[in-house]
Amino acid sequence: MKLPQTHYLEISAESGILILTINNPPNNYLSAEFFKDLHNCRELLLSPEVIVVIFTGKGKVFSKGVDIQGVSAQPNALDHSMVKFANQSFTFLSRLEKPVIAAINGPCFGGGLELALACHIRLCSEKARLGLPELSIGLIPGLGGIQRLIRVVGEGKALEMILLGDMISASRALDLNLVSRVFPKKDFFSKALIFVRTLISARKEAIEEVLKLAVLSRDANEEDNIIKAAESFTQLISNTGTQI
Amino acid sequence: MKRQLTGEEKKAISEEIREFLAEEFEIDPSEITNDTNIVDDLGGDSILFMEMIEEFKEKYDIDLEVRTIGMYMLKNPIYTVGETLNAVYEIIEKGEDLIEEIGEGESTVVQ
Repeated sequence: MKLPQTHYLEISAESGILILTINNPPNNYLSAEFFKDLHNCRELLLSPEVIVVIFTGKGKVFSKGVDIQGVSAQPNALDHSMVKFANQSFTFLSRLEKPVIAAINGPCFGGGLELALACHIRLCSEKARLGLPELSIGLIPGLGGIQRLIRVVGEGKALEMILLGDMISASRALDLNLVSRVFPKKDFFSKALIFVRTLISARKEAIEEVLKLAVLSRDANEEDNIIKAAESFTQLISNTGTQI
Repeated sequence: MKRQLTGEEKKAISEEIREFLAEEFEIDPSEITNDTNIVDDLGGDSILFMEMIEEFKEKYDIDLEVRTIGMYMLKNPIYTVGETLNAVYEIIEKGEDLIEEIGEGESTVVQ
């Protein structure tokens, strides 16, 4: 299996399990370079040798999303074409016909949670907190977070989380069905791997069929609505001077 | 509802905050002083303070939304551990009274 050269995504693969580690510690902010790295992984993600994909974060944080302070310093780093590009990558992940798992090893906010929401299943460390705090800085989730969170937890709870900028605990996320399992922090990743290996022990063709059908069951307008949210996000970021 | 923290309660909160930060940044609690800058010295960020308050919410009966804490931080920027301690004491002591004080509903985040 040929692995692409990336820096902001650390890649490892073994026995069909592809592990993509967000590598921008300590906060694992998602930068334009991260999205280019993710784009460069497309061929690998589609490879028949990859049976399952796991996203996790380097160190103690899954990802705290986009570095808004960095964006304020370099406004062009997050222009509309970049946001569109990032959204295409997340949508690509959400439509893969192999399981894509978010192993949420620590704090997971903003774009980090939007990445996790683009995955099929989310596993969470007991100490992690999750949230979409964009409204607190005058923005909105622009990477599909609104649409996917509504799909995953229902409109009422999703709007509560987004409008209040809630930071929910792992146990609360489990109650809301935002995550599927919560594992102890100490051996989080090994527990996550056991879960993943069990998941892929089913017949490959059957897994693919379920994931294809899952995509079909989504709102037909979901992708259009995600694009509209991205447009609103870039308008808000360019029309207002966001204070951090 | 207003409450007054005792000296012992403040001491306990102070220790818990140092332990929280020590665990977060994998350092010894003794390395953390009141002058330690959370961003410059420890590599933390503004979200960390809100995470910390969320951790202490149940234990100290803090009935405030994250948004309110965020607005408090905009009005009272926090840099050091000492400032963090004073902010946590104030948030616990003032509770819901803080909402009126901050003036919720004011748009303070967007120019």
